[in-house]
Parts: sequence; structure tokens; C-alpha cells
Amino acid sequence: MTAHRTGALLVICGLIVEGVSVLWFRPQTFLLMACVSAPLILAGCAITARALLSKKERTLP
Amino acid sequence: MNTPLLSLILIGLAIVTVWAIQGQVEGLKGRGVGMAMMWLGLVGLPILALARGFDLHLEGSKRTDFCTSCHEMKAYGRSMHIDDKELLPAVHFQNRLVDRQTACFTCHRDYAMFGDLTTKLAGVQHLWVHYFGEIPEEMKLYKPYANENCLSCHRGARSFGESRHHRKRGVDLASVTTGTVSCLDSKCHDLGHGLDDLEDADLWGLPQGDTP
Repeated sequence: MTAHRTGALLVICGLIVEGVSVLWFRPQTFLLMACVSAPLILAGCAITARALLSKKERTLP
Repeated sequence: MNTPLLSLILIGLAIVTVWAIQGQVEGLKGRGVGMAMMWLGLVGLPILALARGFDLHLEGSKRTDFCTSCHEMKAYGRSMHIDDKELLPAVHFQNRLVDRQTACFTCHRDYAMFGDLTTKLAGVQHLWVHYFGEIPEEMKLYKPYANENCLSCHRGARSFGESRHHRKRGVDLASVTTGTVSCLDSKCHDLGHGLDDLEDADLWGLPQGDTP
């Protein structure tokens, strides 16, 4: 699995959790978003950004 | 920006992103437009969505029903329905002196540049105590109630300065405004939410089906 896909997968998981927490709004889901969704999205974005910036990744066929 | 418009923009960006990623598969990767769309879709858009989610949560957490959704706070929510003109929370709530939808937050927030943020960080502390700490028998504020919470609305109001009670009791309002005398600890407004009398109190305006 390429770094792009790993990053995208993490982002998608994070966004799903965030969607659930926004739709089912409770104090508990705020915690869910802060502790689960935000780290997943940020980690996914960081992995993707690193892959996009990497020359090696960019020159792959 | 309103939510439907933002949602439309996000959906549009998502479609463009999918197109860009498909393009990548067919050799678009490395080209300017494809890379820009990937940056936008896989980095920019998720961060935007995360920020919007936090914003929605922050706004929603100002609501009274959010505060009283935990069982520890239910008595405080009910205390705002006590039929007693001496209780400030009840008077403010029942007479719409504060927005009922955000009654807790209006009186218990920090009024400063980062007041919302510090208030919500304290709220996260509540959550921590709820799940991992020991819930005290008697609730207490983390810090003394600031006069600024009252004065942000009452400062300069004629009803505040010329109040019969404020004048009759010889209260030094200058000390109140500078914070040297507390509104709550000065034997004037020290009843708080009146939880001691909640069991026997007459309640006003409770939602249908919510019995005392």
C-alpha cells in the first residue's frame, strides 16, 4: 500500500468518526472527535503531505 | 458562511478530488492540476472539515441541553425552573434575561479574548473527571465566580446602578466593579442555584412530561 493510500485511509476513517460525532452530538462524542478523529485526520494528512512532497513517490510510475 | 453552502462546496471539492485521484491512476500524477487537487483533497479538505467539526462542537457545547445532558448537571438545569424570585439563575432563565438556549454558558463563561476557549478547556476537565476522576458530592467552581460574568451585561445598566437593593444596603458598587467585593460572596446574592430547596420547591415551566 502506498503512502498516499495509507494517508487517505486514515483521513477517511477520521472523517467518518467526525461525521458520527457531529451528527450524534453529545459531550462524549466531543471526546471521541478530539481523541480519535483529530489524530487520525492529522496523521493521514501528514503522511499524504510527506508522500506528495517526496520526489521518490512523485517519480514512481 | 452557512452550513448548506459550505456542504455544497465540500461536496464539490470531494468530486474534483476523486477526479484528480482517478487522473493520477491514468498518469496524471505529477502534473500541476492533479497535484494541486490531491493537495486540496487529501490535505486541505480534511483539515477544513476537521476545523469545521470543531467549530460545530464548540458552538453546540454552548447549549443548555448539552450542559445538562450529564446526570451531574441535571439538578442545576432543574434549578432554573424553581419558582423563587430570589434565585438569580431562575430569575435570569425564566424572565429571558439570558438566552435560554445558552443560559449556562452565558453566566459561566470567561469573558476575555480567549474566554470561549478557556471555558471549553474547563469543560474538557469536567469530562475527564466524569470518566476518570472522582465526582465530588458537592459541586464547586474551579475558581471564584468572577464579577465580570455579571457586569458584562449589568455594567452601566440603569436598573443595576439605581436598584433599590443596591442603594438601600449601602453596597459600594465601585468595589463590585473593580472585583474587590464579590457579587456572590457579599451576602447579597449568595444563594447560588438553590439546590438545597430543589426537592420541595415549586417548579415553573418544566418541559412536558418532566415531573419534579
